[in-house]
Amino acid sequence: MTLYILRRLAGFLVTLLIAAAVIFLLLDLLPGDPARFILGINATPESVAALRLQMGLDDPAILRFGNWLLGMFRGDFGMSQTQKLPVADLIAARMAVTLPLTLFAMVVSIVIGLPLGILAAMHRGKPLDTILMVIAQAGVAVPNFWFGMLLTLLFAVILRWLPTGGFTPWHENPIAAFRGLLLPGLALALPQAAILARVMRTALVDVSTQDFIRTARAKGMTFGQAMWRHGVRNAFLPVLTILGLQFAFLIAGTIIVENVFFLPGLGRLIATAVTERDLVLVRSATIILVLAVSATMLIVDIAYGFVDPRLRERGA
Amino acid sequence: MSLVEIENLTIRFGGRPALSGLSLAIARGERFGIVGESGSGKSLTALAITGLLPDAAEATGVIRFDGKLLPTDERAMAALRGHRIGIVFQEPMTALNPLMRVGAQIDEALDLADSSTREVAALLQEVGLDSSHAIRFPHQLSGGQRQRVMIAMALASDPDLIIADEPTSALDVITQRRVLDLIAEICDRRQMTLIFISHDMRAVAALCNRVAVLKAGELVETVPTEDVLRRPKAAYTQALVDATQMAPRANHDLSDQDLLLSVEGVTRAYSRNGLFSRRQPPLMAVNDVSFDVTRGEVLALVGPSGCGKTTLARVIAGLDSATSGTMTIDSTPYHGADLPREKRGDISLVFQDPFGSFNPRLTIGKSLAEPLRLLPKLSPLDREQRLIEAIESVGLDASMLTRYPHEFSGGQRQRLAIARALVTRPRLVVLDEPVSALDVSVRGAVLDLLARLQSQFGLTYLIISHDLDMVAAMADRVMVMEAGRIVEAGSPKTLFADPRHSLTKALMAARLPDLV
Repeated sequence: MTLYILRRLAGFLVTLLIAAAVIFLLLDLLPGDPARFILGINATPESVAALRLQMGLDDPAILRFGNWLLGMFRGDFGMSQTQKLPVADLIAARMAVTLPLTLFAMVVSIVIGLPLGILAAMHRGKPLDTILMVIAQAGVAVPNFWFGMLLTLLFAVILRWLPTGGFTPWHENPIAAFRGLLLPGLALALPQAAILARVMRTALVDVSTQDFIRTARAKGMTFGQAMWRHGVRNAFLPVLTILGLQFAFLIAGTIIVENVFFLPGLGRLIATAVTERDLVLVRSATIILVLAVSATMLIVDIAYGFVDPRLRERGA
Repeated sequence: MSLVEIENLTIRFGGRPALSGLSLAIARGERFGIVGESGSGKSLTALAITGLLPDAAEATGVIRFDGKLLPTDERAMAALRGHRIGIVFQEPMTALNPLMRVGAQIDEALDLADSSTREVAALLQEVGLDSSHAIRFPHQLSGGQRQRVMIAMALASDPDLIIADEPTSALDVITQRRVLDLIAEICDRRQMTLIFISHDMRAVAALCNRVAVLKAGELVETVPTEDVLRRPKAAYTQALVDATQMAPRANHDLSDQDLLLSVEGVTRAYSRNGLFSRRQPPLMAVNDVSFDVTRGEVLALVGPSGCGKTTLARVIAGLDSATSGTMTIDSTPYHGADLPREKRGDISLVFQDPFGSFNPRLTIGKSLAEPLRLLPKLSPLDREQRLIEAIESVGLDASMLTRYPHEFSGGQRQRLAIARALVTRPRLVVLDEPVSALDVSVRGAVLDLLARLQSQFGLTYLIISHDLDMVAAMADRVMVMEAGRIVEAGSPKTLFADPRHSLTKALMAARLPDLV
């Protein structure tokens, strides 16, 4: 198992390095001079040259790449060109919104999706299964921002239980901050829960025809007991993959919901940075997303190893 | 009083009967065999007794266990299985939960049987496994070991009845014999009733005192085993008995034939070193093997599972490459995958599994035509002609080329696999366990076909098998393989009459006794 984790960890680090190199190269090749952009079109060539020197733009690419990596390693992600603030601080402030939002949405989608999937599979072919799967199909089809608008209408406008949008920072009022994340979290979670329910059901139905389920029944279990004790864990393998993909999607894909609820999240920060050509910020935010997604995959892989003894041994 | 009584049992799938009006009574302490071909309804009978029929099956009739009707309530039926009936299924590879240690799986059966006295270790010892196997996962055990675990699990509740559904057909000959002996011994010791289901009359005869013969869902006859063998009444029973006999077909005069294939010092080693793992010696799947194959010869390669015989066949056919050593076919030297394209048509392969070896989404005609890519110069008309010639040579009709694999029986599919091997007009055909996945009753016909094709097209065969009877009937020469090396070789007559190597002796001893 240690060997298996070490291999996964090595793969994770290599992925990060390659991703960093690609991001660096792409942005470096883009036309446009950041120094000239900062100083404006009226700047003299001398002041542009001075700023280039100060920013280290004239150094060889490999040196700049190394400095960039080293800086990130120490927590220094550079200065945002448009906002004149440390990128690390900007991203940290946004992460305080996006990360809890994503985790909350994940937990909600798991709590709703998995039990419904199991319930449908246990009643496969019966009316309950059909009803649940029709609802799940609708849940997959409806976009999350529309859920967001419906939820706002019900809980904020009609019932007036929750705010319609905006965000109170955690240090000012944690309860208000959490209330601000409830509706967007739900809006994000519902389509994901529908996908999870469908995947869980399909995986369980596949497992239910396996020989070892018949063996378990031969030992004296009812079908339900056999599925519960032997089926669910085997069915969890494909679900684990989907969970990892969903987490990755949520962390980077919350921008629409952030806009619906006026949340100062990571998605909006990146969108603004791209439109304003704030390359330092774009570069750092992208690498942080890559880090988050790769780390999720690493965790999924390691979880796989814990669930499936065949994987640990092959170490593949 | 009978332990199991079946009266007028009929099982239908979508209105179509798969078992019609079966009545049987199995006495306490009896060893009862149910024999028949695939689709005769023998496994359905076992599933009906245990209440494990698939949802789609509609069953009518009466089944009594120990004088009482089978409970209709799922919980009560599950409890009956858990306490009084043990079941051993056919597929040792998939019948165990891959994510759970086998000890825990046996322990679960003990729990379900409310058994407080018996222990996992004791059960493992009873089936001939060391108790240290309890902490292993199923994939860490061999097929035979897994089947022993299945038997241990079936014994956990100290059942009155044990049902074994083709428990050995996925195992090699030596393991098969050991598992059969184990079942017989346990039934003796525990005075258990046994229902043994098989397509092989010899296995049934070795184990059972009474046998029911099923054909296409109907009972042909129920007779004491000795009577089946000495004076079978029904013609069908006689046919099943005859099918266990294989008439010799070989003995070719090879004195004036030239060399077709020569194998010199071929080794296939698998490295076991990973990025982080410590140095280990490579696994020698095939270890310094040399032999010659004469044109028109039938050469057999026998050995237990994992001895390297299939790896060697793959190297010869160019699907894998030798780590060292060379082979020469028709004075063209090669090492495996470097077999020149124009020579690939000269060697064909027929695999063991006639179900897995056809793409279910391609018509038979398309599947059969695939090897013809090796002969790009063939005109469309010639290609068509080749297909028709191939399918007719295996005794099937050219109109079947437009059908799909699922429309054929196992025996027909193996004929089609042979037809596919013939379309390129090869010289050497490598047959990997060509009949072991087939019912005993259709094996004879496929072997007859192979013998006829051989003389008709002047083919050379390399047959890979663990079935000594088949080899004795087909081969001019036999090589015995163990752990990657060839340990003994000779004509089947002399080799089997006077085996020298311990493996050959073990293979001979594992043969089931002849019926006639």
